[in-house]
Amino acid sequence: MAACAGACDGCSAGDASHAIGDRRLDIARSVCMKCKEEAAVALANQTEPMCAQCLRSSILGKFKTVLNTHALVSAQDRILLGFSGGPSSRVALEFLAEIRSEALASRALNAPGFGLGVVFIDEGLAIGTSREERSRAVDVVEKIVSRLELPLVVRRLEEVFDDDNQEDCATQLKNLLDSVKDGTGKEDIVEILRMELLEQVAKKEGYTKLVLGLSTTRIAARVVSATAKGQGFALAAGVQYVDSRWHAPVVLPLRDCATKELALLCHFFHLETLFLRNFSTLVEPSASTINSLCSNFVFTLREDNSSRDHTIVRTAGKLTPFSFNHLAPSNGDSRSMRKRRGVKTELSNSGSNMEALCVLCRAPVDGRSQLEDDPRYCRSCTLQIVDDSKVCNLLPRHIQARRAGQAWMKSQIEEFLL
Amino acid sequence: MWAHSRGGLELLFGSVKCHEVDLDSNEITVEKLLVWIRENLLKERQEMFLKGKSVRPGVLVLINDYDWELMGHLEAPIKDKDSVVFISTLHGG
Repeated sequence: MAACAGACDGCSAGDASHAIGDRRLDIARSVCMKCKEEAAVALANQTEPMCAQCLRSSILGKFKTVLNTHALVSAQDRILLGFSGGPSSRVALEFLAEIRSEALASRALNAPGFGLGVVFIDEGLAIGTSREERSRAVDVVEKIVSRLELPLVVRRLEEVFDDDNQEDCATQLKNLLDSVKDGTGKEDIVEILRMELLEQVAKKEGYTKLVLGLSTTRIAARVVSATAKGQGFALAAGVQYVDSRWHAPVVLPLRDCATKELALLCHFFHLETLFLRNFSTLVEPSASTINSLCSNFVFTLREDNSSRDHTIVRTAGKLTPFSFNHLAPSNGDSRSMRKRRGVKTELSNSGSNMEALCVLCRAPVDGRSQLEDDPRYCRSCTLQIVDDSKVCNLLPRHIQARRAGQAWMKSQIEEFLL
Repeated sequence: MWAHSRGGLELLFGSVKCHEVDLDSNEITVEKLLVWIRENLLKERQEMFLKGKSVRPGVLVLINDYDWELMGHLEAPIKDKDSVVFISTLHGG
């Protein structure tokens, strides 16, 4: 029995498909239900056999529909894509680059399309990845992004500590992670720090929107895990197309696409992806963190019926979204106008609509049910992360400095009040 | 036939992404292939790849670039010179 090791790009699926191309129509049992011409290669949208090209069109169509229907991207925007290397964000990268190129080409000499940049967060220190592996990962990401001729920012997760000394940042991150005993809490704090760092990058580099490649499948897993963590009050917040709790509002254009379809798209169109270890990849099916159990649960549900993740997200979508789940009309423009004219006014969303947010994960906090807890944190963070006051003191300084609830939200928008 | 692994699965196969598989018969099913993989290729942590007779939920299977769900799932036939790709989508971000 022979095994070919090493340079497997030489015998990749691409080569295999050349070899079997002419057998394709013999083998196929169905014809694509969209174009009715090509052989179907994948079962998508739950029950639709599709050829690779129609699968691509279908996903691109959903992507563009989300952006257009919710007016998520304007020509004045500078979009930052959070690229993890995985198939979902790889597809988002490909499509954003394509949409932008089309916009630039059509406008010719007039105003250009939206600005687009990419950010990659190296979380290797949190996981214990070797320096070589981290460096290799960054090289692959740089190669992928440079081919699309887009600016790339690479940050290490420990930089969220905003210390000039890199060693100190690394130590602070290690200390914080060591102090969080709960496995779910560790995963959650890494995610919280990632979002903090993404926000910092967007703010520093002048981006107006942050796009993340969250798929239906992953959002469904989040819905289930949020339920298990007691985040009922905040549940609606993280499952919408838009989340304006961040300096650059977060946009999820792949919310209606299942991970399977995105992975297949990357395979059929040879979109290079990067597998990175993270906490969940180190974990067995029987592992006990809430996040991995819920993720496995959603994938298991999909086995018999691949629409189940869509159903979960649709059900959660029935919950009333928060005020920050909409984009303020002409967001930045009205702010800059107020500054220029020197008019003393408040943002339309301030005051009574402003929900109190957990200073750590930004979940809306239901003050009525948290009378005895520290008002700065939501119940979930209190139980999973900051149950030990020692942990609070190890958080990044700028998070520690945040005041409770409404006071903090107000400070976020203070620069815009005159 | 060739068995390819993607999306991190290759780590379970000794970091080798592609294996050439010699079959005793001219045609087998995916189910039989999985048994063969379990006995001959899986270096560690079988539960990360297999669950019962099938693959772990979240692992995609393509035969000659066809979704196995179109080809009969576990009963899908695999012939000489076919190529099977396993892609893990568990960490899809």
